[in-house]
Amino acid sequence: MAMMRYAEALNQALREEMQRDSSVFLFGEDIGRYGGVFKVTKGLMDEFGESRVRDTPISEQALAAMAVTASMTGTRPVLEIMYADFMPLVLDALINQASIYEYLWQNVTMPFVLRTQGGGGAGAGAQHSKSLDSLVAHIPGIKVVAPVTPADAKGLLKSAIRDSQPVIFLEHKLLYNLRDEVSDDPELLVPIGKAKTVREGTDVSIFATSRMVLESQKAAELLAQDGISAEVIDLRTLRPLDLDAITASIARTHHAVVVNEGWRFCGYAAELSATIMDFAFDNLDAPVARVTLPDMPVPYAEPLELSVLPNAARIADAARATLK
Amino acid sequence: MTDITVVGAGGEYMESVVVVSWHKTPGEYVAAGELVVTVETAKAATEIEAPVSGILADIRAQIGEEVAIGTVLGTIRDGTVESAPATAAPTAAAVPAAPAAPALVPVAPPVATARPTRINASPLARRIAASRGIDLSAIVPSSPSGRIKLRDVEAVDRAREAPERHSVASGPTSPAPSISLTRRGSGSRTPFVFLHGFGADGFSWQPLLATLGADHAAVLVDLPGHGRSPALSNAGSFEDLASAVAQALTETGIGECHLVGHSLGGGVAIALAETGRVALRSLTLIAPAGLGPEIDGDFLDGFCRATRAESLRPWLLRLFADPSIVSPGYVQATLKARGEDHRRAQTTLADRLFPDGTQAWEMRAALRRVAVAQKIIWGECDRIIPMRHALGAGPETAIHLLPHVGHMPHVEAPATVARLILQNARCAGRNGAGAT
Amino acid sequence: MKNSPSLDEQLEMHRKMVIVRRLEERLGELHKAGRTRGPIHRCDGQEAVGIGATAVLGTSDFVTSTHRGHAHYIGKGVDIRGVTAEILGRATGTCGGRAGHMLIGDRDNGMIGGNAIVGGSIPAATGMALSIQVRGTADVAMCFFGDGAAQTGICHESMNMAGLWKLPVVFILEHNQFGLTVHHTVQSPVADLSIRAAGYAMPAEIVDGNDTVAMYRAVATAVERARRGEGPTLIEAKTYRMQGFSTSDMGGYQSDADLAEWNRRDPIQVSRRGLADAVSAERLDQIEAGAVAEVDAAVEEALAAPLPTFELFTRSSPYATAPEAV
Repeated sequence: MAMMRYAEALNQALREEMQRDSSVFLFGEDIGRYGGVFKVTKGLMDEFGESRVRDTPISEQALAAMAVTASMTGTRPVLEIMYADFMPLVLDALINQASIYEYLWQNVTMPFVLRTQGGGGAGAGAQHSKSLDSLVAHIPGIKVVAPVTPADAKGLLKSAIRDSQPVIFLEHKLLYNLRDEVSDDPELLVPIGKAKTVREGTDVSIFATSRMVLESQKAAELLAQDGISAEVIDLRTLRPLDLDAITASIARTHHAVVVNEGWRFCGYAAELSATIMDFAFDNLDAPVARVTLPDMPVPYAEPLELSVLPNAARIADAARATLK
Repeated sequence: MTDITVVGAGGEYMESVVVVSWHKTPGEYVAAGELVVTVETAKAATEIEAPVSGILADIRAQIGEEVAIGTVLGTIRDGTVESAPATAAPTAAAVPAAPAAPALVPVAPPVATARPTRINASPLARRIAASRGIDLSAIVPSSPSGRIKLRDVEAVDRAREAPERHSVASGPTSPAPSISLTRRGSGSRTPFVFLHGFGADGFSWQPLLATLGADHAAVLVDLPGHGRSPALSNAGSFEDLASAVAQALTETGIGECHLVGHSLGGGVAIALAETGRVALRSLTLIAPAGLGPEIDGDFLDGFCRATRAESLRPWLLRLFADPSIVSPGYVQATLKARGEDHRRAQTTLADRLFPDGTQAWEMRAALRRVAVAQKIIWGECDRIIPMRHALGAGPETAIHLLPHVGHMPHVEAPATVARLILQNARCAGRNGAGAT
Repeated sequence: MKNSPSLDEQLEMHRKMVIVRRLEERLGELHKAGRTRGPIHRCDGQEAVGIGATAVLGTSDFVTSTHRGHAHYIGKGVDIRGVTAEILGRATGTCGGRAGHMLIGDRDNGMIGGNAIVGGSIPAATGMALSIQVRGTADVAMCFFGDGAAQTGICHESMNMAGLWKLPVVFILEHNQFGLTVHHTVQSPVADLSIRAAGYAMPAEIVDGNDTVAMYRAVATAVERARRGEGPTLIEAKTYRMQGFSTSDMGGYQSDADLAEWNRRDPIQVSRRGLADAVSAERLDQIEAGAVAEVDAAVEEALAAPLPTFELFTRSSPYATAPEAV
């Protein structure tokens, strides 16, 4: 075990997997010489060379499409898209290419990972602060993970690289400096598709993704002061969903709050909510509450940005309302 | 063999009733038209008369049991011998299914027609209620969303079980001269004691109970000359009634309570507080009498005179802001719950307390002396006692005026009233000494 | 001449072109008879581009195609019976009827694959070339795309990276003059799109796309260059789309004079003339008859084959986690 930052945990995962498998290679903007704008790929070009760690032109559309076919033909590419806000540029590669071939052709695999980071709170403005989880989680045939802790970041990235299917790996810009214990066992993987209960409770289940897990944990503290026992579940994998964890928790608490930093309408929280309705309806004692970004751009100035981002107080309010 | 069943009467909001008491034992002779079993609905007790003469063969619905409207409560077999030896009653299975006989005079329209809208309940509450045979239509939601939740179903479940678990304290109490108290629930906290209004009885609190939660037991008092309590021939003031209530509470071992009184019961509650014979934790008055001279004398006269549904209904309408509450079933249930003896007793009581359409007894000063947390709740559309009487309360009394509600806030807005009562009780817990 | 095909190779290209032509004609008939499904994009008149270019490749090389890919499929060695059955939506099709004529993929033969997002084949082949370079093999990736696809942004992005990293990819611009119904002169200010190659530091060549031998020679040079690690080449094959955009095309925008002119340069006739000195007419007739018979048999077989039955695709979890709730 070692204490390390989230970014360092990702770096370690990349290094270990590149050492383990020579077909793993990295490409993306600024990831090589500079080591990535969030320093996730720091030092890797020196260790693995310019062929396996490539700085690319600013060409997201082609890069993503190339990741798809490179993965079909014997390599395991890990592509970094600098901001999740740029994901609309790569959607053709995901929706019209990666999503269809395993079904149509059946004898191909697409073991590529697309890493990106989103989320607000850093004053990056309306084109660099979004959480577009629902855009990618919407696509069949593609897995989507969003780790919160350094240990999960490492374990899930290693699982993603070894997976035979496309995995979208969602990071959050405010998580990179989060420090925690991380195992140095190179074979310690975190399975894709498994949620994690980060706080047990009996009155209400809070299902959260990415940084919202941290806010939900704070919300649970607030609720505890009111005598409300909240369970917080870090979904970790956005697709495929851990239905068992979700339904088991609701069977205990009968109340659900879903939290996602993306937009509300047709958002990831909406899908979670519908899924809960599908699979846990008869255990619900109140409608599922959604806590999301309002349907608007993320503004720049601090008081404006903080006004739109979901936070602990809002999550706690939603939990209280659902319990009324 | 003839079935004893309950149909319609008093059940306009319910698909089920709770058996309160059997007036005959198996093997006993019963004449057609004679009272055989009393059941309780949301609004009132309903006495069920024997449909035919014969021997009460068996009792199928035990006291405290909730059964659906139309269920066979018991059967009467042919026979003329009075006090025939109680032979082994035929088992239920051995009884051929007879077509349901018209056991009662079914004046009320079919129950279904009175159901206003779809019941709003959470999926979980629905599922649990179905599995436990609980009728959702009888539950008043506690959530501000208006949706019945699991806790509401569980409250009903507990209330239903309570009479069995606490058989000593439940049902009509035994001392003959005393008055009837019905205990609901088994909450460990200080109980609520409920005093009903003129012409009503303890069951009038039914809509409120579901939302009151399980922490406190509820003691439903039938004031003298009302419900199952005999008249108190010399009662001439709020104090006289309060004294009878105090005695009954003492005999039942209730030394401490949160007191809730409506209308006449409000005046009695203030008087009871004055006696000091019961340790009050909080006092909640709903459109109480005793705070001013005005009262609708026409209502009192008309209500007391009425012996038929046609003459009673117009006066009942005056009680509510929402006329739809006064369904034919409700009128019928009120009529049946009263009976001729009670009607006469109530007429006498009204004449003494409210002579010539005036409230003769002034309780404002007494109210100001009551030192516990106080709330007054009044419907803004009250046509029986003017809402401005609330202003007679002291400066520490909280006054809650409910829009679109008449003289019966606990029936028209039960969730709100329950919330306010609980609030008052909690308030008492914070400010006063002792547990709540 | 350097990189010329052998006689056998030339005959095989001729045979394959006849196969493709016969397939397109049969599909036209079947469409008129109402026995096909959806639009079908025929490549009549363009066969030499795909057949000539793919003749240079080995099985382990990769090809990405377009929505008009029948010549590419056949050229790369995908079984005619599987292709025919797939186009006719049969369970015996290359992709079991799941893909249809625009999206046929055959991983074992390096055809991966058809692509009906115009321009989609360009980064697809570039990505495969990237994979080849990272792995360090001598394979090449070949990309077919049209003059319409050449106007997409992703074309620029891909060629820029291919040139920058000297990726082993051969870009075959199958210039058939039309993007759907719109003539290339309305889509681009330059007639010869290959002049763009200079911007990516890659060589380019304009080739008669109706001449298999010319295609073969040019592509063979490009493929050799790619295998040597010297980077990509852009080959602009000038040809002409004799049938409409698809079977749903109402026509009316192609001039009779153009059609007559390009008909005189029909690639199968060009090929026949080129073989006339070396091979007897009887032999060529025999080869052509064999090809026609092969296609006809494939069509009959496909029409008699069972239609596929639907099965929820549950092999991979992301598809499988969306069961409909009860």
